[in-house]
Amino acid sequence: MKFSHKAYLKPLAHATKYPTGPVNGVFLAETDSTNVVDAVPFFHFWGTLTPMLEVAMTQVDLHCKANGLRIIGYYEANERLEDEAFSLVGQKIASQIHHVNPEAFAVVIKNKNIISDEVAFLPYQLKEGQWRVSKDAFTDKNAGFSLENSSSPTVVAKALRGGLGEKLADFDNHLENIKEDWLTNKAVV
Amino acid sequence: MVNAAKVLQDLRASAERKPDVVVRLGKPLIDSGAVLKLDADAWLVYEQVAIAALDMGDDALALKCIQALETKFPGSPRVRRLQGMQLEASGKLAEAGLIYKAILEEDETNVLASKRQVMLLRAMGLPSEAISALVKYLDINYTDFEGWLQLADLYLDELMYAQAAFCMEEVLMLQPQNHIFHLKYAEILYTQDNFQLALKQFCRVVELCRDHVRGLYGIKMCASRLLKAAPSKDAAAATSHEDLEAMDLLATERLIALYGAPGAAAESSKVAATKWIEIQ
Amino acid sequence: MLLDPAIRDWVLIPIMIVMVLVGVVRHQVTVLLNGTPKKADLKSARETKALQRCGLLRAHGVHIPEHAFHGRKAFLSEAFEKGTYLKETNTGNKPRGNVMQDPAYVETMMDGMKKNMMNIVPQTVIMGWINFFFSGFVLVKLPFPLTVRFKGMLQRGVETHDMDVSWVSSLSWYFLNLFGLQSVFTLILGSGHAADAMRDMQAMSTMGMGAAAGPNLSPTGQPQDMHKIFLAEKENLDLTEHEWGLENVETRLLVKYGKKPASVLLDQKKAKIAKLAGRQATKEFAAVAAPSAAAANASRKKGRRQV
Repeated sequence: MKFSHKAYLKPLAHATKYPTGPVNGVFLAETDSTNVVDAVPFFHFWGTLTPMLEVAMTQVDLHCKANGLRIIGYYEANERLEDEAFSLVGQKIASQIHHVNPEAFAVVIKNKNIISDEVAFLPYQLKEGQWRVSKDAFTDKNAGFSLENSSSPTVVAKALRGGLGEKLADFDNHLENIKEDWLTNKAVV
Repeated sequence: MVNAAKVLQDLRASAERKPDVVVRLGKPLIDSGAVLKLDADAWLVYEQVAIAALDMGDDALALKCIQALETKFPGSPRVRRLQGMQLEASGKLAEAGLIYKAILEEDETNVLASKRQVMLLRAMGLPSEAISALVKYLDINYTDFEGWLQLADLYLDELMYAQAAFCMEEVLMLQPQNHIFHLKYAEILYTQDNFQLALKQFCRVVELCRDHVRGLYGIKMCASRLLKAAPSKDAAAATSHEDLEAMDLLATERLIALYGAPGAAAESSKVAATKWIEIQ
Repeated sequence: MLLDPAIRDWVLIPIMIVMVLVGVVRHQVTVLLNGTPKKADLKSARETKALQRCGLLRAHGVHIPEHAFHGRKAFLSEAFEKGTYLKETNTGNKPRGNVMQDPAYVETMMDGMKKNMMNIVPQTVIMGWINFFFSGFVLVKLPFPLTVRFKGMLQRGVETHDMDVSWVSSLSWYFLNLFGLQSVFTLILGSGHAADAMRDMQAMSTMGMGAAAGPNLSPTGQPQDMHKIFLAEKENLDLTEHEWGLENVETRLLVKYGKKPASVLLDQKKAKIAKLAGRQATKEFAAVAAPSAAAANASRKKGRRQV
């Protein structure tokens, strides 16, 4: 899994925009590779209810098909600063994605690392029916997780300090005002 | 100066949470000592600014306010609650918990301390303790709809949808005109696969708030689910087939109209939404 | 007729000053007596709030679906019957002891008495003082004419038929002050002061009844049997029909968007009323049978209590 700058930036911007609530979304990759090229932010109101999740998932899927992409992963950030556990709902959603795409993974955002030079992603992978954390995924070469651009954390941290997070729109925003461009988020990139 | 005091008073009266405004107006009042000219109101301003300062992370200001209150009202539970909140803000959760516990031992009806205790338990990552404390609190203060909302969220985190639905029903009885609460209830019902009731609640959302996109999506989802499913057995309570089709059509029409307006939505989301409507 | 200036200096103004001073002193004493507000008891709060909860369900049940309403109704009915919300769980079948032995009750009673005394004693003393020294005095002439009906109000204690109504007697001056000093007190003591003369009047009318006592005391000052109130409330609840506000929301919405004519709503309403009328008839029949059963039930309970 190689994360593009865009795919690294959007989840963190999402978490920065809503620091007091849980947020979630999905990662997108090209159909024929495992390189994560983009991310789509979903919710910040309540992530545990299904109807809008169904809508969002289907629409992302349609968006993917139109652009030669596929959903490859799920991310979430918890409400509390030091909480890095993978929520029950998140596990369910990630398992669903895994059902369709066996390469799927999940990421919990390390809230403490968002504005720092370290990678703020904590990847989880489904092994023997359980979501297991791979702690040193980004430092260990064999784990298979890396950033396309190793300076991404520094660049993103700087941009977020400058208030870039406010420009991001997720599906909740889009439902309140359909002008918000939640699928591509051109304003952020 | 007089204006600042007036604005602060209005904010207190409306219980709006605008910590940035409060700190901006309150800080000069307190630093210059002008606040003492407000007589009895001075202490309310101190309390208000202390809470706002904690919200904004201005620990020095919060400490100053709390100390002033402490010297004026030593041992008052209201001041001790502020001290507890200050400890919470600086990450000393256990100590804050002890303060709330002590207040509650003296006066078990203290609403502020009970609520803080629930939030503290939640922040400490003890959801089941938070739930039982909140249930105990709501058994008496059941008119506190924010408490019920909080409890619904706690249950949702534990995926206990039936209980969360119960809490939302209480909220609806207390605040029937707020469409957000109807929306949340509708989505919980949908998650429980109760599409019939969910449809009605989504309808209510759109009735209260015309062209509410989320509500329209909800109606569309429920109606198409119900249309696809076999006609339910208890036909008395169910919406008629003809009405379902009409609802489905209405939601589709409104969504297409909303997305179709020139410049209404970005191209990518418009394409996705239109296709979504087609395949439903 | 002219009034001696000495009357103004030695009667009119002193009465006013004395009344203001007494008001201020009384405020201070009241504050002193009420120094420690009584702590509310969790259980009694729960007891009174349970009733409100039932009222809320009856009033706002329209906003929740059928199954939710019935669940709550069944729960509250059962809780009321069993006395889950009662402060003391076994009051239902035990005869109440002498209320004077209940310390909480005696305390509220004493509190009420104290407050009443604070209100009545000073006023009685001032009135006695005025009656004793200045009875029959005429203190003021109002600068405007009044009709003869004001005679009783302005010339209390001076029984002359011929005197012009604009002359005010000493006792009437006292009453004018009693009611008129309200805003002066607000000025001196701030709002919410305890020197309120209007409260005196209320206190006098409910003298000795523990006017300020809690909500579970009946007007006669006796603590009520909460279990009985709960049972009455349960009956109210049982009689409440549920009508859901979202029954026809789909139609309402379609009408709102102009997909259906508004007359559809009217037709629905008519159909509903017709249906309801049919049900009402059967219900009335049932209601005739019900009271006798309830009475039989009650007599059985009484019998057991006496045993």
